Amino acid sequence: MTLTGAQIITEVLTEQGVDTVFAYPGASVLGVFDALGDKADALRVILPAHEQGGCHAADAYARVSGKCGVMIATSGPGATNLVTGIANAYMDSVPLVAITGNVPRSLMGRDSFQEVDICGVTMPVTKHGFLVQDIDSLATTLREAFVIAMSGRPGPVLVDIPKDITEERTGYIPVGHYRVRAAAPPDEGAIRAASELIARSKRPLLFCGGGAVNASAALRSFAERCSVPVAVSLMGLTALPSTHPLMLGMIGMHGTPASHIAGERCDLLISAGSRFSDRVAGNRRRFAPGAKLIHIDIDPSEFDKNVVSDIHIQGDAGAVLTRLTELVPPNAASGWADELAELARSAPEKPDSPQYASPRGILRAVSEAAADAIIVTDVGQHQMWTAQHYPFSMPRSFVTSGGLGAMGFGMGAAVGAKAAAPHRPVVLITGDGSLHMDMAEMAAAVTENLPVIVAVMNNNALGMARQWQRMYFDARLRYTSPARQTDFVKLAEAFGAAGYRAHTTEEFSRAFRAALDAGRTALIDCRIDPDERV
Amino acid sequence: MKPFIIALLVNNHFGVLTRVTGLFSRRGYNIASLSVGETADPATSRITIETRADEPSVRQIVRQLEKLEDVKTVSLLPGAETVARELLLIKLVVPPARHSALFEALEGFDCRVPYDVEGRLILEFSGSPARCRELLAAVSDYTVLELCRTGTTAVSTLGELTL
Repeated sequence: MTLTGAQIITEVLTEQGVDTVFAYPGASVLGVFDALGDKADALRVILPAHEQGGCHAADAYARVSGKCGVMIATSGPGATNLVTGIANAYMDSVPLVAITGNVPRSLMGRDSFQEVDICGVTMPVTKHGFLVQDIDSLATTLREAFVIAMSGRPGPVLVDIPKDITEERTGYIPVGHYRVRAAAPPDEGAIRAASELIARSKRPLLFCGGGAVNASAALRSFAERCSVPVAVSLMGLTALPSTHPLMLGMIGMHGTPASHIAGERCDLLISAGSRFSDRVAGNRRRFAPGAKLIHIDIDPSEFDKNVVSDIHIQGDAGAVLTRLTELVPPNAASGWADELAELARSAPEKPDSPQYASPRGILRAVSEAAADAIIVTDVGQHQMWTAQHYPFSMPRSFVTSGGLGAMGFGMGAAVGAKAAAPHRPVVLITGDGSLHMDMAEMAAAVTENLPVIVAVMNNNALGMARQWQRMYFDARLRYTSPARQTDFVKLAEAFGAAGYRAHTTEEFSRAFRAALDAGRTALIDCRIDPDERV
Repeated sequence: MKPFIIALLVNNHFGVLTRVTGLFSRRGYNIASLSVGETADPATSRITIETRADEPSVRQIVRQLEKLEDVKTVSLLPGAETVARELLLIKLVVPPARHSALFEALEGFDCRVPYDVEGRLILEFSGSPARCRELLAAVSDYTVLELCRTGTTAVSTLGELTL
C-alpha cells in the first residue's frame, strides 16, 4: 500500500490505538489535516483555541484516560505555543506525543517563514525528540515515539515532520499497537532489606507521589496490612481516597498538620513514586529528620537526587508494594496510625460567610452534587484549597499542573479531561487570574460539545502572589490586584456557555446544580473573600 | 570534588552531542574536557567526558545520561585501571638563543616537532593527563601563541564497553 506521509501519520495514530487528537491547523500541517478528514470516523479531532490550550488538553486527556495524549500543531509559532504544554507534561511525567509540522527540508536552516528548530527548543523538556528526515523512517519514528512516551517513567516526545515529507509517498505496512519496554523486575535483595526495615519500624509512613497514582490498589493493601499511615504529594492526591482512615492528606508547604507531624515523627519513610520536590521537602536535610528512607521509583535517576535513601528499589510502585505486602508481617494495631488518624480528622472548618462564597464551601458543594466528578484546577490559591479540602475518591480524578505550576493550564485541561471521560462531570476550579490566561478554550468546550463547569474563585486578585507579598514583602501588595473589569457571566455567554454569579456558598450550590442539570458548558463567577488565604 | 572520566557509546547522528552536553549544563555539572569520535561501527560514536564532581553527583550524572534515548552505554571508567590520553599541539615562540634550552627541558617527554621555522615552533605531544600537565609546566617559560588540546580519551583495561 502506497500512502502519503500525511496518510501514514493518521494510519500510525489509529494503529497505535489513538482515537482522539488535539490539533490546530497551519500551513505546514494542512496535508495532515486533509488526511485526518479522511479518517474522521476513527480519529476525533478536537480544535483548541490556541495550541497551548490544546497541548494542556492532550495532557489532561492522558492523565484521565491512562492513554497517550496526542497534540498536532503547525511549524513556527504553532510549535512554540506548545512549549509550556510540553514542559508541563514533562514535569508531571505525563505521556504525550507532540507532532509538529516544519517547513520543507529545502527551506530548513534558512530562517524561512514560520521556521523554528522546535526539537532544539524543546530538548530540555522532552524525554526525546525526533526530526524526521526521510519518509521511510516516518512510521517507525512515530511508533517509537509512543513506546518512549509510555515506557518507564512516562513523558512527552516530540516528532517534527517537514512539510515535504507529508507530501511524498511510500509503502506502508500496518503493525500492532505499541508495547511498552519491559522493566527489569525489582531487586529482590533490596525488597527483602526494605521489608525488614518495615517490620522493625515503630512509626512508618508511606509517602506517595504521582508515580503511585496507578498503584492505588497495591498501596492500599500494603498500608492496610501494615497499618502504615499515608501522606501524599499534590501529584499523589488521588492515590488513596481522602476518607480512608489511614489517609493523612498532602505533605509539604501547603500540607495538612497530620502529615506534617507524621513527617517530623516517623522513624521510617517509604516513598513511592515521588521526587521530593522543593514543595514537598523545602529543606531536604530536615525532611523526616528521624527517619530511615526507602525510596521506590521507576526512574533510577531519582535516587539520591534530592534526598539520600537508605534503601532504593527501582521498579513500578505497584509491583514493589505488592511484593512488600507479601513479605511484611501484618501489624493490626498501630497506636501511631490511630493517633495520626485522630489528628487528620480534627481540622476545623470556618462557618459560611453571608457576604462571600467560601472556597471550602464551594468544594463541598461540588463533591456533594457530583461525587464522580473529575476535578481540574489552574494554579494558585484555588489549587491549594482544592488539594487540601476536596474529598477525592477515585484515582485519576484530579488534574492539576503540579511541577510546572502553569497558570492557564485549567481551561484547556478541562476540555481534554471531558474528551477522555465524556460521561463524567468535569469541573474546573480556577481563579480569576488563571482564567484570564486561557479563557479562550471555553470556545473549544462549547463548539466541541465537551460541556464542563467552570467555578471561578474570584477575588479579583492574584491571590497566591498577594499572599506571598504579605509574607515576604511587608504586605506591599504591588501589581497583584489588577482590578479587571471583566464580566465573567457575560464572557461565558459570549462564548455560547451559560453564566451564573454566586455571592454566597448557598448561591453557588444552586447555580452548580442548575449547571449540572443543563448539561452545557457553564461558568459560575464566585465572589470569594479577597483576604482568604491558603 | 574528584576527577572522573565517563565514557559513553551513543547513536551517531546529529543532535546527540547537544543532548549530552545540554544535560550537563542544565543540571549544573561541569565538563572539564570532552572528546568524540566514531567507533569501528559507524552507527555508534564514543564520547569521553572528564568531569570534576563528588561521588553522589557523578552517580547522578551517570543515571541521567542513561536515560537519554540516544545513549546506549554509560561507564564510569575506574581511575587506576584506565589508559587515558590527550593530544596537545602547542605553538611557541622560541628565540634562537633559547632553542637548545627548550629541547633540554623537553627531554624525556617524547614530543614531536612537526614545525620549527624562524623562531616559531609547534610541539606535538600525547600522554596521560598528568604528563600533559608536566609538559605544560616545562614550556611555561616560553611564549605560547596557541594551545590546542583534544580533551582526554580513555579506555579501561578491565572489560570492554558494549552496546
